[in-house]
Amino acid sequence: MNIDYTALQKTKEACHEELDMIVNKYNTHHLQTIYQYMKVEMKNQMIISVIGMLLITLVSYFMNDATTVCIMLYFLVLGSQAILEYMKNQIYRVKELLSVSYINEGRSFLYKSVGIAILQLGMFGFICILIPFNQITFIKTIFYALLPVYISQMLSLQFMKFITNIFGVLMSYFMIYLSLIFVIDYLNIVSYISVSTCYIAIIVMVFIYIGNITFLYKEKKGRNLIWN
Amino acid sequence: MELTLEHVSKKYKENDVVKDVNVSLKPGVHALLGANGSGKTTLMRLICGLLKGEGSIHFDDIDASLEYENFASHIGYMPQNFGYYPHYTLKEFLDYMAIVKNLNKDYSEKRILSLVKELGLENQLNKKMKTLSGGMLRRVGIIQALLSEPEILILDEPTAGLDPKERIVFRNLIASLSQSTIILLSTHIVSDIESIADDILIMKEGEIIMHGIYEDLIKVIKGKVWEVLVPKQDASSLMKRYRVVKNHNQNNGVYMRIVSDLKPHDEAIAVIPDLDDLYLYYFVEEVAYD
Repeated sequence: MNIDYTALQKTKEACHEELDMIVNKYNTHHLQTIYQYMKVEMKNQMIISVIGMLLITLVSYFMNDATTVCIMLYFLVLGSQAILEYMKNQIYRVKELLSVSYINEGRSFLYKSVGIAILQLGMFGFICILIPFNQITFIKTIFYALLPVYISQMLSLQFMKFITNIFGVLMSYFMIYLSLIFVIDYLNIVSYISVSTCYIAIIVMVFIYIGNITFLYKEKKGRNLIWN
Repeated sequence: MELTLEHVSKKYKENDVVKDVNVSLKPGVHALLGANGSGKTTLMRLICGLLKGEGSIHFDDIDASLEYENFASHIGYMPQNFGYYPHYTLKEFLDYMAIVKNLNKDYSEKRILSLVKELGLENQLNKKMKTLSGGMLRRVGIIQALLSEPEILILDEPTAGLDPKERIVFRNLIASLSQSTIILLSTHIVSDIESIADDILIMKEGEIIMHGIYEDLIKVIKGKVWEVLVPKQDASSLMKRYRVVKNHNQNNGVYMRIVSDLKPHDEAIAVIPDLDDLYLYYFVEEVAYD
């Protein structure tokens, strides 16, 4: 029997290529998925983030202690995003398609709100350079606004498996946020924290944030599940 | 590889929309045939986890109610009313669907290109979704369902709105997948089923009343399908009394194909039944209504 070894080699390579393709089908890192998703939806994120941050900055600038208003505005922007997202999926009837997808309606909103928060954090840093906040306002903004919001988001990512819709995300944010505010108030953290501690807290939080996402990804692989 | 449904039921208020469905599906094309409102779409939505019902659904050892995400990752679904973002181009939409399905970028790029070529949409990639025709959108729906090469493919009325050529392409594509995929498609277009289905599930008022291969199902009405050529004046009385599948005028009278337990006319002869006859036999009220 004559065997064409070149053809055999080509077949072998094609088989390996096919196998690699199948193995790599879902081989995406959590961050990569978020990044790709954000890239597609970036325009809306930017608009909403800029509007939200402008509102917060304006209020902070004109009022002496604007922490409560800042938070109200943050959740107002988040709520508007939720309603927009919900309406968009209803109008275009995409909800049904997304429901059987990895990034379902709830997860989509979760990612987008995380995106908004990250962009707003960047803008907040920029604004801090431009507008000198007094020390107390700065610490209050960090402890009553930024930190609890980001921690809420981090913890909500842990409950992602159970969140399937936009209202689940909002509920999760509110519940965790209110619990954190209660703890911060109860311990009266703001009265004995310095600005430098705030910066350290933010840096630690960013590390935990990245660690959290990496942990979720490793857990996903460890459990040998394709999703989550 | 097996999709198992045990005692699957769904109620809307007090109405049973899906009643105690017990079925086991292996790779192949399984056609769900039934009139409008018979519960086909509800059953498909139950399988996809879009509706919560009673009973259990398993894919091999994966319990859909306990490990929904894992279960859903094996599903490709094309809904009856396929939704899309009209301002996206076809390429953007398919990329978006690949991202929400958590597919690897390199894999999805190759997969999208091969599917759009196979379904003849490679020249439409840069066109906005809102500019695509109904048939093209249907094909886009099929492509997005196939993106992840799912083991279970649920297609709700996939051929509605396709022209004959598109229908042939679709049938060939489905046939090529049937060896390794459990394909459940709903339709009330009988000719689609005859040409692609390995087995048929007939659904009426929420129940699977028959399940089997084409030849076995047809046996049920063997000897109950008749053909006759009658004078024009007799035709209307036969039309009123019997379930007439086909009738057309000829020079020497009216040719009629009738489904009836009894011989409808002295000159009628029994013929080999087909799926149209079976459909009429079970869904006479719906056909009369249509």
